[in-house]
Amino acid sequence: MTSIWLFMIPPAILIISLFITLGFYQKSIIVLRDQPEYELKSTKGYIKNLQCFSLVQLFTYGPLVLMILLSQPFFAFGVELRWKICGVCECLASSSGFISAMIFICQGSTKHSQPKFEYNSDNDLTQDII
Amino acid sequence: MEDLEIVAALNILFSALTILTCTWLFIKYLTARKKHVGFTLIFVLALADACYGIISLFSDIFPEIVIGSVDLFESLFFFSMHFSIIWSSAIAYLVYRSLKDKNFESNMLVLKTLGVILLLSSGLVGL
Repeated sequence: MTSIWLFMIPPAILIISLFITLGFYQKSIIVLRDQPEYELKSTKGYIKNLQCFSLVQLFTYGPLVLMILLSQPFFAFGVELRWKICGVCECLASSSGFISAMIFICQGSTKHSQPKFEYNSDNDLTQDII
Repeated sequence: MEDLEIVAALNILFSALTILTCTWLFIKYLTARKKHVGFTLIFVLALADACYGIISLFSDIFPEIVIGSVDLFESLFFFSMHFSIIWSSAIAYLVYRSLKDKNFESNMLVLKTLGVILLLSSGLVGL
């Protein structure tokens, strides 16, 4: 009885992580909307860029986490089918780094890797937040 | 070829691709003149993915070694999996903080968050 609860922890973490991720990105968009000093296009690109990376992680590791739970003996599954689905989920999780790197290349590498302030007439240079 | 062998071959291919592309990301990060906050977050993500890729590749190519030390490989597997999932939420949190605080000190907060997630992931593996 104890073991089923232990196997419930990773899916619970996955679901909580998904909600936290979506919540904070939503809040970031609201902050961006409320603070006009940020350069809208670039900073929105920064948020969307990192949102992509977070969601790729959650959606590539997610099926594996769920399959680890479903592959336990207390779920009635055919052993071979269980291994096949687990294998496919493992492939998906293994490809996570590759997908992330492809996104990194497609989104123009480091172009939107930090929030930027709007051009300020008092200051000749566009300021970086760091 | 049996279905399971095809799946194992695909796993080897994707793991190798992940390790290669993550290595490329590490080189790109280490040679970058300015290490922006977004790039640092992706770098940590790539570290976890590369760790997972190496374990996955190793378990498919050298299963006899993995069978010899199952506990170690299982711990590393679950650690990198938990770390990747929790780090994706941490990225969302750090993006929010970088926009909210004008005097955001990226390195310090990233390191603190990294420490907390390392502890949390280790704790989850220990369960």
